[in-house]
Amino acid sequence: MNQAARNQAKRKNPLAIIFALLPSILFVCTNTRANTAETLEDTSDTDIEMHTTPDGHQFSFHHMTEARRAAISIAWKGGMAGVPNGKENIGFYGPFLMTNGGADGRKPDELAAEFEALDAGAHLYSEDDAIRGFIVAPTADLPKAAEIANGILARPTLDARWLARFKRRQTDGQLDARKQVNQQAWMTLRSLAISNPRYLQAWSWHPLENSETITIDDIENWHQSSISTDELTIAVAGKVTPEEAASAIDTGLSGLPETNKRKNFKPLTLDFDSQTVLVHQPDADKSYLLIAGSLPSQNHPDDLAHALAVGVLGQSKQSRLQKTVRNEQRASYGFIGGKYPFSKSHEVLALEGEVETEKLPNVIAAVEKAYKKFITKGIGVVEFPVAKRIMLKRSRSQMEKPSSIAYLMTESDLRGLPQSQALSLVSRAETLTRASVNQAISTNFPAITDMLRIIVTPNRNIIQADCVIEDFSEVASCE
Amino acid sequence: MLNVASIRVIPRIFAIRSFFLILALLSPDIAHPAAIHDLTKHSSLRGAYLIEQPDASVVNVQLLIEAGEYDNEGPEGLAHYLEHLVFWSAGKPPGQNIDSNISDLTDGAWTSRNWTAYHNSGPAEKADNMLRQTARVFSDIELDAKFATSEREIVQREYDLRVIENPLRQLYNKLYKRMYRGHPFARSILGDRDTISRFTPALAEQFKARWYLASNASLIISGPLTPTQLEPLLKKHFINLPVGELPQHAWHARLHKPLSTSVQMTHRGLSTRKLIYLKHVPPLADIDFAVQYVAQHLVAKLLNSSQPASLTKPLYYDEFYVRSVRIRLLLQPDRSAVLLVEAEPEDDVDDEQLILTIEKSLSQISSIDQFESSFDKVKQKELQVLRRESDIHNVQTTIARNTLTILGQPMTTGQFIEVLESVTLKHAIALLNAIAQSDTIGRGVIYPEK
Repeated sequence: MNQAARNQAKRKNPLAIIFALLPSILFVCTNTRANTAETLEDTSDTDIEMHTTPDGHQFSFHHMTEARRAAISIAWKGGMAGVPNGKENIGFYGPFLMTNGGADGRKPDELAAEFEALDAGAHLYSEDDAIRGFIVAPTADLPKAAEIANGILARPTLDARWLARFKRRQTDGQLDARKQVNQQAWMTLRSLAISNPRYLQAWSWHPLENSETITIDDIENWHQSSISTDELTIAVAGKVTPEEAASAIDTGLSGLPETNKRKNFKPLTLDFDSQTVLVHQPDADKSYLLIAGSLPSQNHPDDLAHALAVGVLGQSKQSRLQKTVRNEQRASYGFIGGKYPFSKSHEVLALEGEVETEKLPNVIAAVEKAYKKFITKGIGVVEFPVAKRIMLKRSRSQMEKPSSIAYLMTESDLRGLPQSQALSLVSRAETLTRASVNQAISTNFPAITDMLRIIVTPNRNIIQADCVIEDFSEVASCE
Repeated sequence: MLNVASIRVIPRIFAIRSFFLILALLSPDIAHPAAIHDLTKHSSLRGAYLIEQPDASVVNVQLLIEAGEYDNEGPEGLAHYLEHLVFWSAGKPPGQNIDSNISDLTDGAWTSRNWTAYHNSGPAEKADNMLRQTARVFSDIELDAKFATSEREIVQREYDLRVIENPLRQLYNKLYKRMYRGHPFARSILGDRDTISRFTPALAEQFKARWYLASNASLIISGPLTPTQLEPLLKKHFINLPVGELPQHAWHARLHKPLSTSVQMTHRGLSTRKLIYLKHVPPLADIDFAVQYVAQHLVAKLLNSSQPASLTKPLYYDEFYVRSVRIRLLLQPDRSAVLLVEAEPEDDVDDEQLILTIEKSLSQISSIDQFESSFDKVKQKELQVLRRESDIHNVQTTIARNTLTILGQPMTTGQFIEVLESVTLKHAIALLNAIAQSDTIGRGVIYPEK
């Protein structure tokens, strides 16, 4: 995974590969006020059909005439609460071992070589409230891809030797991550804001020793109780007929048990104290600043306005934060603002970046001033049309990709929203006005005084902090 | 697809460059035909090309200057610092400061070993603006002196971001330094903290005066423009630019045989050791360079694959020698190549044992029974993907850029596919033999700091 993907991954689950996939989708995975102003760019709601496969699996279907491939997205609803306490990282190891450790009597390399020969992509991963799976392939390759997927889902090898190998690599990767200033900042944030240890184990791998106790029996139990034909949401988009899609779905899900024991953790709660925490790392070569607070969830009617606002605040070379920290303070290569969904109900606004240590006090003051101005005065007359054009361009681009549409259809379903949300993205973006976005900013963005500041730095005395620790694992002393 | 090692700079600070699987999942599936028009005669440039994409939503402009860190004789990293200065200077309206305008052009720049590029994209009606901005790359740098000097600090922060917590990159830098001692190939694109501190705007200007000439630059424009629409814009912005006499690239100097070398270092950010095995591969004299370039791409894919004739299979699948391995083949501008194997050895495997296994496996790959079928599977997969994506706009633009910077002329996707089709088993074997026979080897191991 490259640096950028790691930067995304760290927000929630430091080494979960899926987060390389999400950024472009998260930008548009939103829900705004209902509107009727459909445009030519949008696909009509009626383009989503419901079908049932011969084996009885219901799926939603969106045909894309110009697409070259088809995407099938399957979500096994329900979370990880069924696994023993402390073993939540089965959510990572389970899907990883299934997809990388061989299946159907074939060795890992045989299976991988067979899949590599197809013009196809696939993915399987856990979220806090569902297991998600994707296949993307041209129609001609779809039956074979589905057959391979079925082997992985129904008859994974689950070899203890391979699990041990993945655990060695993952444990060392986690240890390495903890030595990085940005990871320390995000782990500190999660440890302060989240009180439920099950989420912390799943997302921060803390305590790391817990993950090392996971055995192949744990994985087998998880697999047997998780991967079934029960409680599914299935979406198909792309160039494929409903019959071809149905056949691939039946092939992929063939032989799976009919019931599952998945259940969700207790709902996530986030608590941001407006304190300043300094993580003193004397050996660090650089400093990191993270300022974070709560945003309404992605289900909020203003979510698309929030996305546009965050773009202006911190997502390009001409963003407010980049101009402040890089161009004016000359203190960072990149200082960004972003919003990150921690769960279907919680989103976090983060202003962050590596900062020259000696400039930290000035940078904190400048960022706070810029942010205050942003939420007070909102987006400017010149900024708004530029930001909206960029959003529309990206939204239209998402609408060309079967994988994005299938993902968004599934995501809407998991959020309890109509799947048509996935297809009306462009028209919803078009209804945004500067006034509506600025109203959303002033109403929903956290005040700077309600936000948590975390500074990871080699200089213990660079700023006055409410709490000083040397590692994220010590945050109890800050609470 | 085929990457030139490069540093992507502003504004793609946290841009995603995902691995193949994610690309496969996310590839846009709507595509349209295109052709490349040579419009060089309407400019002072070495080359000016239009990839006509009638139904593209935006115009992309890429200016590629054949000068990078290999051409720099000043403090290491200066070509990259210059790129920063030029990016800011060219991107703002003359006479104004850098933050004075808000634009919906998406612009950026990068520096590689032997190229520097400036690119932007926007709606077709902004083509005139984009070309004006691009042509300003050749103008004098117009930046506040304090800002220009302090951009050095931003480069320092970029170094911190990309290198300080990246042990493998540090190991690579040391290996190259020793292996190619005294030759431009030893240079690192970013430099280090010491060299960065020695940059000055004046040094950067000197480098610019020497290399930023129209006769050393090519333009690739893609989007919904016709040659008739573009010609007057080229004449307006790209005639009467500085041409001058180009110095010879320093890397043309005959490369004395690089040195086999071994480097060991420690890093506090590591919990387990990592190993790099590096081989210098002399140019293949008997193979057309375009064919060599594409064959190299296929062989790298093969070595990384799970096929029976891969390098991954003996190291990662058959025996647990490594926890992870990545193999790359990079072409140098003198047409030599470098094989790079990055591995994370398993705890019970010693360095010598792993290196011997790598060497033995490399020497045997082309004689494995399934070599032909493995190669054919990789080639057919590449052809299948490329044919499917051949009319996707950014694929066309990427292939044109990569072929221009490596082969000297931009290729259409159709031309690239023809070359790919012409690559045979014989070419792959020749390349693998050259790799196996090379005795110039770099070995580097980086250990956790105790």
